[in-house]
Amino acid sequence: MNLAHIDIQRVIVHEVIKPSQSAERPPIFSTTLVALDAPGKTLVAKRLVDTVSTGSGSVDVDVDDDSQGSTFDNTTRMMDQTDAVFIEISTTLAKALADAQTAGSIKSGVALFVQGECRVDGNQARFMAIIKADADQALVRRATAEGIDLSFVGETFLGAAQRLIKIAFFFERIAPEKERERRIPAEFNIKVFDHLMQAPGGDAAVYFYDTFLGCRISQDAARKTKNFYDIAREFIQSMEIPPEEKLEKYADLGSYMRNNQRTINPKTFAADHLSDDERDPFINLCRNQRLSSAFTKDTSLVKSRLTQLKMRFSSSVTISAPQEKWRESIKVMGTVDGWTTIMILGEIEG
Amino acid sequence: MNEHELQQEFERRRPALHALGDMVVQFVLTELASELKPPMTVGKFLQIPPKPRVKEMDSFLEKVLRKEKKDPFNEINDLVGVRFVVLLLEDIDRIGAIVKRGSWHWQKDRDFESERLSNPDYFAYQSDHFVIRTTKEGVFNDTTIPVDLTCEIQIRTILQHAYAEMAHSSDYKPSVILPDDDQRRIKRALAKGSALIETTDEVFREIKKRLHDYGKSVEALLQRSSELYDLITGQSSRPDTPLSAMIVETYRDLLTTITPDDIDVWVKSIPTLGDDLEAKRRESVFFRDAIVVLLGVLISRHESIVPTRWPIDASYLEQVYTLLGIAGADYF
Repeated sequence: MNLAHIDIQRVIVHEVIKPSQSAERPPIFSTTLVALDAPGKTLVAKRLVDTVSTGSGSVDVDVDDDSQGSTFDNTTRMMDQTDAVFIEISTTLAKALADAQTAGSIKSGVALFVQGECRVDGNQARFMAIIKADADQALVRRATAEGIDLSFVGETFLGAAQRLIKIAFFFERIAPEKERERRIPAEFNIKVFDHLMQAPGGDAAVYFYDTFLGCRISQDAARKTKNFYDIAREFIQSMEIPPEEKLEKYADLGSYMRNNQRTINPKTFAADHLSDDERDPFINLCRNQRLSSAFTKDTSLVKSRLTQLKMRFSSSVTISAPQEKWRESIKVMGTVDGWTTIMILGEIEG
Repeated sequence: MNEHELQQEFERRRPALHALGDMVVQFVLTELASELKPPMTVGKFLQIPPKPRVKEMDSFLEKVLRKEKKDPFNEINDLVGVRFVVLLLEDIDRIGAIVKRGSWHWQKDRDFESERLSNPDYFAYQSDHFVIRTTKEGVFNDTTIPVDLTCEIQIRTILQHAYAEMAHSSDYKPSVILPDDDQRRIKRALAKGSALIETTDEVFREIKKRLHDYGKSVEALLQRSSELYDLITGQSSRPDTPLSAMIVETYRDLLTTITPDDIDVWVKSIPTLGDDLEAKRRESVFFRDAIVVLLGVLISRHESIVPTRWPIDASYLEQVYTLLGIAGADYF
């Protein structure tokens, strides 16, 4: 999904603190909109592009709970409200977010509610973004008469570190013909970005997309995973490299499919397993097949194809090995006079 | 005329022959200088500085004797000669064209042409020999040049020159009769040499042509980018900037696969590009440069390679990624 031409219209920020802290003092809820200056808007727009647009690690989610008062209901409703109601609903959502945040490594931070318009795959659309941003620490540079002075800042937000933000991005696919109280999930596309989804073994903070957003990871993950696998196989097949190198690439693909990362991102696969020349053609190929950013990995449709990799010889001899062990266990030394020399890790057992 | 008289007459003509040779050189150099476009200069175009050479006295006398010339001063055309040595075959025609527009009568050297036709194997082709003949009396460098004085002009590439010098120093003349076997061998060797020179000349011509074509195609890309930029923003872009030259240089190899029409297609696929650029151009001179359009096409095809070579401050490229809606955080 390509996101461009982002025009930010309304922003409000509330504090989100750990439930344990809220016993000590109540969180700060803003009562006015943030007057973000132009560079500030540019920065927020850049963060949205980097986390949600083409090539990003965001994933599609489906709405589970669209009942009255649900996060879906509140978020989509606030788009058409006056500033006062916008502020009121955002406060409710900030509280809900804080309440949902009961497990995992929980940090204090802020929740930004951003309304605006953008172009989604070339079509103008309205959007609402909820950004949970955790505080970072930094040093600020100041020029003094003696040179440069650094001073500590305890709370900075929306820096380049993606691990400090979670985003729910709602964009309006279909505008209702006339204003009505409740919106339906089919009128929106929702993307969630959470760096934990990309991390090995990481589990996207369930509290965020499930408890708070009332969503679940999109059901077409299995189909997308299969698509990706087929595209990658075909891409490797078309490469002009010797058969033994192709097998190694297939093995890399197999390992990538079977590793413990929760998402698949064509860009990550390209960066880790393809050479400079192959990278962009592969990314572009995936993009043309509508795999433009990350998606949840679900190997159920390809599982049976991810076990063994086979090397066949013209003499009809076959050698097979588990894909993830291929690179470390089989070395092709070359072919002379119709005989291929292969080194295999391990001893003959039977 | 006996030999003594010939000698005297030759000496009498010597200053005029010198003056004619100098006049030819000056004419060609002046014309060439006005034709060449920088960075090409006459000094670079001509591989060896041309210097007129008046024939050696003995060589003249010997030729009269050998060829039984009755009117040697009119029949021998190379009493003075000038040689122009250029780099490539196509450069030969350029000098030839200049020679043809001098205020004298010109013709191709018949002796050379016939020699070439009878021995095509080892006379490097396309080397040109002209004979020019004055059509009226004139004065050059305070010396009177009479009518009907001739000067031979040779034009060769530097490779032909090298071949001719080598063939010449081998002392071989086609007229010399040798035992068949040796004759064949020498002819064959000379033919090989000639073919090699010809091939090398062609290879260099091909290289030059390709570079030229590439230059043209890049020019066309920049041209189209600039037209489209002006069209979609309603503002004029900065033309031919050193910045665009720098970026083109950086991505030279990737640009070869892009055509001007590809830029059209790409620009049409992003309807808001004009508005976005219009807003950005107030912020930085970078966005007033039409190269951003071409850069956009490059990024759409090579998003992971482009940042690895980016030649200036990365923040400009980051802004382009954001503008195009491509998540670039991993690349910067």
